[in-house]
Amino acid sequence: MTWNDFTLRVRALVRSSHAEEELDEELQFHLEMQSRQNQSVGKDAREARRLARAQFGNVAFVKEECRDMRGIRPIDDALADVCYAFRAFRRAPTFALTVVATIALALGLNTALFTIFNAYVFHPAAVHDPDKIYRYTWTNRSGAGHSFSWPEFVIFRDGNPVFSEVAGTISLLARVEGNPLSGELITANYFRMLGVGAEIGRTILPEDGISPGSAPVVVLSHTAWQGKLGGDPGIVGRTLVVRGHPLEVIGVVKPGFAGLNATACDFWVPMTMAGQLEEGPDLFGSDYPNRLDIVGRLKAEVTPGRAEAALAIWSQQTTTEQRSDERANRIVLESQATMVRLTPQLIAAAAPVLVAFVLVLLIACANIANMMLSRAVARQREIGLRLSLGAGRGRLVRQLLTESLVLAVPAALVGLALSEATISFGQRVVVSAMPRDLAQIVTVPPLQPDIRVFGFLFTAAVVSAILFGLAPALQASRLDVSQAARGEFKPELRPTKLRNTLVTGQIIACTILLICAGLALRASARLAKQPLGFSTNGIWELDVTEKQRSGVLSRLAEEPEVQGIAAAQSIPLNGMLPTVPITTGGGVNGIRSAYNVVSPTFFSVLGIPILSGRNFTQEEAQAHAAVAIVSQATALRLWPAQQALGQTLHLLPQPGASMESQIGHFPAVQVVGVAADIVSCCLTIGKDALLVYLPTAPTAAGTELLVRVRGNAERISSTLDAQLDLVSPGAIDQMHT
Amino acid sequence: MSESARLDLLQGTLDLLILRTLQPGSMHGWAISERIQHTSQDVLRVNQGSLYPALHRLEHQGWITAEWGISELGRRARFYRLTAAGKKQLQMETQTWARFTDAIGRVLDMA
Repeated sequence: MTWNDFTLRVRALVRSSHAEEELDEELQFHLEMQSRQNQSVGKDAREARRLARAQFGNVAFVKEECRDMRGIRPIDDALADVCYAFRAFRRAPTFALTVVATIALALGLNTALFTIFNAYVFHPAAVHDPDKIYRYTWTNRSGAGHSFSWPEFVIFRDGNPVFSEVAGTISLLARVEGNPLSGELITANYFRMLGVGAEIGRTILPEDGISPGSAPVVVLSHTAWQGKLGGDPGIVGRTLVVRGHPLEVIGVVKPGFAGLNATACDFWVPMTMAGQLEEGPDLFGSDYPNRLDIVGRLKAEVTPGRAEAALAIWSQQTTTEQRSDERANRIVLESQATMVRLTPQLIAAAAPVLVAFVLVLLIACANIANMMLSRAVARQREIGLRLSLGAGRGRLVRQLLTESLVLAVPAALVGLALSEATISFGQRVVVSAMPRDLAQIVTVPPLQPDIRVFGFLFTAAVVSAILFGLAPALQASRLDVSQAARGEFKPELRPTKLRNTLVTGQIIACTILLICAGLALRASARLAKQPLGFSTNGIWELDVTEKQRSGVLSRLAEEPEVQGIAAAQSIPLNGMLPTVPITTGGGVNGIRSAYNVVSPTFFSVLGIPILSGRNFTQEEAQAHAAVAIVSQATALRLWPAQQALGQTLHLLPQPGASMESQIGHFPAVQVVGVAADIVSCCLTIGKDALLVYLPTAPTAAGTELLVRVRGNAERISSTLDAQLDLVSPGAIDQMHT
Repeated sequence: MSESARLDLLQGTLDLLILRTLQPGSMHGWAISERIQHTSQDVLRVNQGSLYPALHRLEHQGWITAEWGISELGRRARFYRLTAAGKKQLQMETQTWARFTDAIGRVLDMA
């Protein structure tokens, strides 16, 4: 199409009545000229005009051909179809409303799902050139991922062949001004590498991280500043106490950036503050603790595939000196361009949900297709008339499809509104169903519809319009013209086969969906009803920094609301317990049993009955005495025929394994009691098959605290928070129910 | 001249005739049909009706442009005029036509 052609078409379209008048005038002029000429050769006026018309031919036909030349016929037709469709639906508003509502519902649900998917999977991270940002680690022989020590990081930063710049991160949880915040220790080049700027103040600069302990500063995310910290406009310059250390707020990053992980990051502190903010051996000390994660920006010319190959060789070479089970076996290079990577695993995991939602849309389409079909039957007379007047079948199908599209557009708009409503409702439900403090940590990415969502909605609407419109349109236009012309209409149009297929498909899809929904409901009901074996009411979990443990403990003991304090190495329902191979000296040898190291009060605080024998004593707890309490299931399993009490258990921890746990204190233990079974790991696994409790005291390092309180847990938690903050600010990293 | 002596136009030659007719200057539709008929000494019968779709098509192809002007009768008429592209097209089509008739002529003269 040339430009000239285009402008002419546009003119014809926009000023169609004008073009029409011009055409009229032009042809009239011709006839006038012709009849004048005819008159000049002696015809009288009337005869001259008649002759002119005859010489010209069919004026209407010529006009039609000229219009065709304008090339706007399809658009003209489409406009006419749309007008016609509107008139038709004004005559049948109930039908139109039903269609719009049904499709809107299905489109709305699908759009809501896509919006969520979009936010995690397609929305690019708010950094400069996100496609070049990759997280790097390696897995060892047994598939465990590797965190890097500071020297390893330095070697990688300076020696790796593929990244132009590399930053290290360590994640960190802290309670700041009563809010649980998740943060990151970062090497000072982090923001420069990502190209993330500050909204107010400044970000962390390389000068902030020159030597360990330097720059007690913190940068906040926009969401954390606005939400958890109240949006104070004078936040820059204020001091926040993080894990007992005052840090000066130097800036807030641009909105939209909340770290690279799937969970949002609230604050960033220079890596050089690790010694102050972290427990355990100093990152820069001689123990070389493995803590860092590595993200880097690939060099411009390096593709991910080449980077992976180069890094595989590099990491194998640099780890050949290490113990065989710590060597790099496989390297992992993960794009950080979006919050969640679109991997085959993700697709597989999301597929059932996707299929369910698409099925909903298909069911809706089938429903409407059926309605359209019966409408088409009712419109036989109209369609027959058009066919016998010479309308092409393609033209008719196009018109019927236009009607579908006319319905799909409002459906898409209503669907968009519905999806917004669904998302905000769903967010409220999910957040209110979560424990309060978990809800505080989990930050949902903004779920605003963007261009991709609109694109999806548009495509889905058009596809569904074709789905529910095409089959009935084809069916309806398959009328016998000769019969239609005689006004003979069969009472039914024989769309039975198509209809049967549609209905069968619908029933199948509905049944599948119902069965799946039923199964999911039953499974969650079963989980909800499952007895845990202990009571969680009024229990608070405290994660305390070691330095302030004793202060917190004595303050807690003074609180009138606190009924009991217990300590445990692993808190029940927080995930898998560690295991250790055990031997009874008798029949059972070397099977792995879960174990937990707990204070004597553990059983009373959680309400776990001791079924036989006795609890640990205070002395045993302080001394880590060689005694144990086993769960009932364990007792039955290990000593089916005998009393468990008084038996000896040998624990065989592997050398080097779980160094930080206290398991090394207990080579052989005597069973002094049997406790009721509980669910330690997670609801889906159920009660522990094998579980051994070993004694410890709340004052021992490395245990987490459980506090049972009386009365309104919410109120007490805030008073406790305030009280504890007075004795030891920042002592509490986390507080859970 | 009797009806049978008149020739219907060959498919596609109308465009060429219109372009050639417009070469000297702008003209309205009726004049074009008259000119073709007259110059061909009434041999070629241009169906007056089919002239207009052809004019509109050529206009869309950008070979001619149209503007309103005042006709010899003092009435508004639509005048067509060759564009630069149209001139080029005319040249090309003329050559093609010459080669075509030449070839046909040779074949016919063969005997």
